[in-house]
Amino acid sequence: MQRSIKRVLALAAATVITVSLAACSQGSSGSDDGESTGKLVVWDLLVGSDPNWKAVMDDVDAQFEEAHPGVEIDRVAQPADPTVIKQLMQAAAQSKSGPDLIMIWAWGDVLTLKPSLTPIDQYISDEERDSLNGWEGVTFDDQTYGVPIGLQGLGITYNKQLFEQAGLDPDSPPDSVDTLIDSCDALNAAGITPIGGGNKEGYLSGWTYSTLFAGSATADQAAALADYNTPLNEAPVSDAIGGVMDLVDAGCFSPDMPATPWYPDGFEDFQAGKTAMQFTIYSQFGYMQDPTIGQYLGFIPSLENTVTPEFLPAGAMNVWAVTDFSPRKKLAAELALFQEQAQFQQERLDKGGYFPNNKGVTFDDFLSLNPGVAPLIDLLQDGTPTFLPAHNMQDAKTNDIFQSQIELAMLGQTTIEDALQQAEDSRLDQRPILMGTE
Amino acid sequence: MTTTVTSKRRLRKYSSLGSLALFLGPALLVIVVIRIWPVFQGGYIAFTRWDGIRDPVFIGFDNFTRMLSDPILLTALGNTGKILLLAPIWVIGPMLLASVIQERVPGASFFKIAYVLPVLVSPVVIGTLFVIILGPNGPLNTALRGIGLGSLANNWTVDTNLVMWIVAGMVIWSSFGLGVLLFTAALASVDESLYEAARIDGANWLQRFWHVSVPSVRGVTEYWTVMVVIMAFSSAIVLGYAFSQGGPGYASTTVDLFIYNQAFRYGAPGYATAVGITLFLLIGILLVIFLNLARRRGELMFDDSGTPL
Repeated sequence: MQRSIKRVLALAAATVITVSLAACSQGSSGSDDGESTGKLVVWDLLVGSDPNWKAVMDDVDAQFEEAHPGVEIDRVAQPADPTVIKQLMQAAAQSKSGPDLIMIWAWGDVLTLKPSLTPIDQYISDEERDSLNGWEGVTFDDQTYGVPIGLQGLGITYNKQLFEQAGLDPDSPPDSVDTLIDSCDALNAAGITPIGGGNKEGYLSGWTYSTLFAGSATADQAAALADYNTPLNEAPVSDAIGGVMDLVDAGCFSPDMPATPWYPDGFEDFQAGKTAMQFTIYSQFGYMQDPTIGQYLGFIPSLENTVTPEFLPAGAMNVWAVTDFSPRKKLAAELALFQEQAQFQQERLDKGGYFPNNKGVTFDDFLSLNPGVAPLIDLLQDGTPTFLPAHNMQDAKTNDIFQSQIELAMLGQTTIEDALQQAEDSRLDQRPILMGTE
Repeated sequence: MTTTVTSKRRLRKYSSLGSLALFLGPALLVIVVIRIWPVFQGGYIAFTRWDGIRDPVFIGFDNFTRMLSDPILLTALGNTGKILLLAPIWVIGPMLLASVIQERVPGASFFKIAYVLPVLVSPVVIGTLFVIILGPNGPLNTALRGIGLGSLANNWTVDTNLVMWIVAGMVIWSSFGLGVLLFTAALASVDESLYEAARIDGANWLQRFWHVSVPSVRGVTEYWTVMVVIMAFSSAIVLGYAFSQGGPGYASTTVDLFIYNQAFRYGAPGYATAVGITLFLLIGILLVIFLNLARRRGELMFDDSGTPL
């Protein structure tokens, strides 16, 4: 009797071990790629707020699911707030469960969330890599942590009608800090505020700096900045900030600029035709269709400061990143690349005005609606490289210090040297933590 | 026989404990998991370097020593101190207004509602509203220019000497009505005969306020003062952020905004927790001192029956 009980127990144990091993082998494909079927959870920052974006992404999901039987995409709308996303990702990383693919911001967020992201180099073909701009915003230690989404850049939108009123040639806008200051003088003499906008939130500090950095640094120097190796209190950063202060000192901005809220007051005057120029980002090209001033608008894509611009101050608008706890890493990376194909970026440009980073997108329809953007499109189509705007290549703390200190310098309450020294101290403090080299 | 009785008692005792556990257990569990456990967890995190993603690294007292040499934290503490400096106005102001309303002035109900209204408005709305009011071409500057005082027009929102006082003023204004409401309710329960006696003795309004009203609402005053101290340390963040984002520079960064930035924006929850714990202890000490002083003063103000001396 005892022997038969032992036999039954041994048989049961063997069965349990066999079943467990079988279950383990079913749960994993045996490689880091993960499973090739199942539900892909995607955190999308735009799908909840923009019906145009949603329409295109619904199409993306349907086509991807059709091409991958057994795959279901659950696209979750998340708020476009870096702080919230960071908190949500912290919770997901702690519990090792959550989304497979997340939309975040280039460089700073990739760097912060890197410990919970997975490199996806092995899933990106050379052809796919060549088709997109903006990889500098997702690459650290020679590893790629995401797929760049669209192109966000900076430049100056100007009102040709007001240029003419000031006796300036509207078809030869300023292309350097020096010529911009000359234009400011002419506009001021004509009683027109040269550059509109406000800096109450500190945005203008960052935007003007990034625009002038592209005219102060070589492409190699920009790459060094992306590695976070460039001191923020030396050239080319100090050259770019010097250029910004030259514009302030030359009276290019309204005296109310420091206290003017960027949204909406800054744009109000420009739209009303009271100010001649405005630092803008590519996602604001909708102003080109403004019924009042749209027909008079032109765009200055870059300015020479201390060097002839070698690149445009533009980089990934956002990034798709695969989480390191995703059970379907390869599939998630495939979806990330799939949704940035020319076909979908074209739809997003045409429907929602999302500026593309896929080189296969054509601008014919866009240009017919926004002819003022032509100088930028010409440069892009000529193959002018882009590089992430400089203020995007700072960690959140350093960026806050940088922008607020420059704001104080613009108010005359600190010197540029002190302002940049504080930013540099923060960079030195934060770099080893973020890069994991401490 | 004795053994049987003891067993029955034990059984009853256990059954009572079981019932207690059954009824209190779930609620206690929720409290322990949601309220108690995070405090202990926070206590540990304060001694670590942690970015919220990687595992925390124990660093001893580094976060606490870092506080002493952090110029931004010291600025933020100074800014919060400015709100605390205005605490007497925050406490006495509502009490005075409630007393005036208590005198049945014409339109008392209107004033009561008017004071309470800002409490009902979101701090974000208040902050944004003040950005508009104090903007370069906002109503205040326009009015100043309109009455020939254009030289006083100012870029209020970026004036580093003024911006923190404006934030402090907004914080007080936005919660002032709550104090008025509390003191109005407290004064309504004061025995009218005390005022009558004071009147017969020839006391004027100010004397009645100081010798009857103030001692009679001592409990509410203590409660409101505790609330004011807590609000000074914790309620400026939303208003201040909506108004000035803590700037220009750090001119309006308060200690609660500092903690928020460290924890959620700069990836340093460990340091933020250390600051939070220190602040918690600081507020605790301040309140214990205050309550002890108030108790001693209370003993000098009332006789054994609770009547003001």
